[in-house]
Amino acid sequence: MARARPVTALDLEQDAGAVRRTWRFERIGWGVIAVAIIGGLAGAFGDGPLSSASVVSADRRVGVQFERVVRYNAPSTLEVRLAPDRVGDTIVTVSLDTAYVRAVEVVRVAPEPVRVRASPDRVEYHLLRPDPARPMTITFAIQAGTPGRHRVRLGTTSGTVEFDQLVLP
Amino acid sequence: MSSILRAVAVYTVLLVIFRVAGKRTLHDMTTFDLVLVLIISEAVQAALVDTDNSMANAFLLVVTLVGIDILLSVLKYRFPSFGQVLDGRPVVLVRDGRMVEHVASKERVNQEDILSAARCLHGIEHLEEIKHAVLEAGGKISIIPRESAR
Repeated sequence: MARARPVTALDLEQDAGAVRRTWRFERIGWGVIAVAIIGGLAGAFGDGPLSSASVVSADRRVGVQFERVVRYNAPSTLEVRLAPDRVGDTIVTVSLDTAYVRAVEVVRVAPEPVRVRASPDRVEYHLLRPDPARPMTITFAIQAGTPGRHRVRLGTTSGTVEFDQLVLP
Repeated sequence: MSSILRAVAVYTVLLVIFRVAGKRTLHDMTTFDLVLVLIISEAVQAALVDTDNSMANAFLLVVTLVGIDILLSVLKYRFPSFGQVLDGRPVVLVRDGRMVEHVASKERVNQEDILSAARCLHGIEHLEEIKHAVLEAGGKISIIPRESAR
């Protein structure tokens, strides 16, 4: 390693090794910035193709489109798609874990639920289904309030799906 | 507590980003550099303040940011090597009228930058009249003219 040595006639200590390490650190930093920008465009930090995901129940009667990564206080949605109902029930119940609803505020549900019931474990949203013979889409507008990884269990009268969602600070 | 943690996080991230960006990034501010600083301050403002717009939060943030600055200045004074890591080191760009090309290119300084500093500081017209040009840790270019050019 190069030792610190004074430049001739200039009282300035030069440590060539340290200067080279600084340049290397800068270049690595530039690489990290480039990766962060590309990752951001791709959605590694939410709001992009890498972040967008969907999950379906085993019998494919319930599907949820969601963001794997959401940002603190930023709006996002859970889009629940239900297959046509065989029984012809005109009321649909969608439930979420109470812990998840506490961590991620549900700002709005469309269509608007006719009743919301909360228990210590689950929050149930009861919605009218005008035509049980047709598929139905329910949108939960959410706003994440607690950073961290959240396990989401979304239950409906047709089935249950589970997925993970990461809330960035 | 979260205000202080947010302030520490924002300060640290900005410190690392500007350290990585290099000495010359915001020194000798152009008009656009000024706009860039304003945009950056606007971008981090929400992360600092969150939803708490109280005066108490604002004072807490200011006290924390200034406190970190004081702490770092004390550490830099006590431990000069820490200061060199944090601020970088001065490097020689011109020695006896000749550019040290590999240093200048790594620091993204060209001959025109050095001559511009030389003209401003000493009215020097030619590179040969410069004995030493040093890119200081803060990004400023210092010029020491040759005896004949003084």
